[in-house]
Amino acid sequence: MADSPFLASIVLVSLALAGVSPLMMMGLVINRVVSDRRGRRRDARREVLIGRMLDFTSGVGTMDGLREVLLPKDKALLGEAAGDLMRLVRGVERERLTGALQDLGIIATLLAQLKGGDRKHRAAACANLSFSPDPAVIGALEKTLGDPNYEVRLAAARALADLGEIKSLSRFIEGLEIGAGLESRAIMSILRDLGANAVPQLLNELDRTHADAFKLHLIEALGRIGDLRAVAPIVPFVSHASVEFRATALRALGFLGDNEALPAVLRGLGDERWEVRTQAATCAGRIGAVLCVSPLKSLLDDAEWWVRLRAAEALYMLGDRGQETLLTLARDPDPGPAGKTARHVLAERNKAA
Amino acid sequence: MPGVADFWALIELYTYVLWVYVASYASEFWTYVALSVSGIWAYILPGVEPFIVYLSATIIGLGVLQNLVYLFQLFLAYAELRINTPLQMDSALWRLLKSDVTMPISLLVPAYNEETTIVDSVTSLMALHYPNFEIIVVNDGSSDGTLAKMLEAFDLKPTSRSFPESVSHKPIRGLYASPRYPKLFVVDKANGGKSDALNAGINLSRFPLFCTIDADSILEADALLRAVQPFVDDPKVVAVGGTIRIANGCRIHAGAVTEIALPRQILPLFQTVEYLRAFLIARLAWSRLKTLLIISGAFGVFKRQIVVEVGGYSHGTVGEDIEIIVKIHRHMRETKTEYRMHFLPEPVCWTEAPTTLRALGRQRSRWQRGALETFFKHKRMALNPRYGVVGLLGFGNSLLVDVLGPPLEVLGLIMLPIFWSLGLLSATYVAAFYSLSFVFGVFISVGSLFLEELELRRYPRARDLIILTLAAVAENFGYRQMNNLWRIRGYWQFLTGAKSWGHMTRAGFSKT
Repeated sequence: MADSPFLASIVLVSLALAGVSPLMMMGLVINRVVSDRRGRRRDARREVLIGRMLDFTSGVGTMDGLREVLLPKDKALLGEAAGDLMRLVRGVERERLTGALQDLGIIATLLAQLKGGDRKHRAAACANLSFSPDPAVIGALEKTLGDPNYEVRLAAARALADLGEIKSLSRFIEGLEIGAGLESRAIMSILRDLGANAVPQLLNELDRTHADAFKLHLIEALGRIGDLRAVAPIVPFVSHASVEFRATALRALGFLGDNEALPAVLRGLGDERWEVRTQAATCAGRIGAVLCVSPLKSLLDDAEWWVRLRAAEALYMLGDRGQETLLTLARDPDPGPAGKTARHVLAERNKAA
Repeated sequence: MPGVADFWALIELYTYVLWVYVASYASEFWTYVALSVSGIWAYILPGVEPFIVYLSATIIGLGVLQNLVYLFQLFLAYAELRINTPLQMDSALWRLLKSDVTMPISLLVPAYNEETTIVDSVTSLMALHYPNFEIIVVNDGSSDGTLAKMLEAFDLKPTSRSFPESVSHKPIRGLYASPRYPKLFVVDKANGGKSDALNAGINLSRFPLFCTIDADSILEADALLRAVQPFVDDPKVVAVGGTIRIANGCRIHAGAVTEIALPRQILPLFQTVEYLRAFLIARLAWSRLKTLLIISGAFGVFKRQIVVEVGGYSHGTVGEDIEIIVKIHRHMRETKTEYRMHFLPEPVCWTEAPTTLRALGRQRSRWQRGALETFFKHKRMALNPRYGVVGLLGFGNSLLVDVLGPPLEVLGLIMLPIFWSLGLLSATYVAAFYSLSFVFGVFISVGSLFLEELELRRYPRARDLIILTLAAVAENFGYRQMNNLWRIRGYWQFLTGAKSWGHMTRAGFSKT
């Protein structure tokens, strides 16, 4: 045995690890064999249950027949499959299926999972409940907006948005604003999916005090929804002190593509920051105002390559007048940055100078 | 024999050295003076036996420390996998695929003499599930038929594209595209190495994110969707790395892995165990500690603007994938900008592992050289509190594993038996050292298999777990020692200023 405590401890640790490693491996192998077998049984059972449920929705089976085949452990399995099942059916069949899931206690199982599962199960439960307009479900999802995990909060928000059951946008936004994850673009996507009906409420929120990250999502979502009521409220953000707000506002105005935004876009083309000038150029191209030809031509000499590129692309999008400007610059025998950019952009679009 | 008193004396000595080093981090001169004085002090201790005592205790002490670091990493990796790894439910990924929240990505594929794999690789990339991406293959002056194969297979014709000279690279000879494959863009340029090819790709890319992929690799169809999620969730994320797995033994069809299996050859099998350890333990752990010092060049996604800000990939290094990450850390910390880097276990990239000792040896020497080049190029960051956890923990680990690790391990292998044969060390001492090193290695490998089983389960059969465990045991008898020798060769190449990448023979992926 070792002749010092230090060596003795090394020997002991070695012996312990030599014992633990094979035991761990044996455990993993046994666990794999058992879980593979269980997984196969589970998959087979899932197939059977899905088949029965679909039969029922198409009017072949009865509720009593379903109850007879359903074992207590099947509830969790059907809960996991609920989202997939719902995607397969529409109209009356969907209503029948929703009713069956409610009567068989599947919804109750998912609600219990929402309260007591780990983050993975809670998020999955949100996704699987996104088809049920039951008030208890909506209440539970609204409550989940305050979940400590932001992925679960987002899943709940997404489910509520899918259900079209966001009664109070303020409450909904409050939920999203808690803690980490506020900057996720998924929030923008959820807000955008609320659609044109939610525009008045979203515009109200734009006036209220929110975190910057959230306001940026609101501006972009309003732009992407494409409702022209958003143009005037977004325009002031083009003069915001923050470069992020200016750039995001111009991106949103680009999506909206309305002439009313033209003065703001012209202001953006002369912004001190290249990120803003780039967005302004793209926005000008989308709006399609010939008034922008001259300032865009000036931007072809910009020190920043991206600004030059976007300005040239915008000129091309402006039609004949913009393209003529590019052709004239490209024909210069000794082209500067403007002429070179014009040449390249025309060549990329198979237009010889 | 070294006793407890010797051990504490050694700790005292190292504490002194560490203190001097940290206190004088602003001045390299004083650091070197401090280290030299400490070294000389240890060396001139009277008599041979105390010297042997110190040397032996150093070897075993560092060995124990390394193993403790591995153990620490194992626990961190477990926590990261269970708590922090994005959920990435299938339904969420599907939604991501259809949404406009994903940023467009340019896939950069540097290719040098890859005629056997390039067409398959590009075909596989074109089938990726992602809403908006372009593939930029950079032919880095290949001397074989890489370019010709691509021109023929994808019906490519010369084209034009405006691009900024944001980062430097060798001249471009031609640009090619095809209306039949609008996502594909091929750049032909003078040979300048992988960094140079990536820089050319960065200049030509038009999207906010770029993804580096080795030409001999296969990305899983949903890899980009998974890798982009951290960028969608957090604008502060600047880089994300995914897992690299060994494709040898897998069934490949039309540029995709259709059936996962373990390699049938012993060398790729050992590498499979190594990759599991490296990715599922080390990278997950360092990612949790925000000290990730490497994102594999075979698959990493970066914010283009940040890489341009740091000047792109550095020339004259073979460890460009480590160096770019260290450069980004350094830049962000020096400019006091908040940022995040992530390693994700789920987006998977499959790669062909070397099957011969020669090719593997060259690869390992090159990796070692790359790690040393990066460490010494950015030595100012090492144990420097100004760089936070990256300087203290990341570089501390690099010092232990990359700088001190190889020579001390080899020294241990050579010197301990010599000391024993001279009667200066007891057999118990030597046996204890070797047995600890052996069982700990196996334990850590089993730990990586545990993590794999916990969440990922890529290897389909229970038998695979047994084979991998046996490989984890067998690698200790020869393979691990050879690896150390290759790393020492890398050390030598670093010291003598070698620059070559060496040659990698591609067998090409087997097909069904």
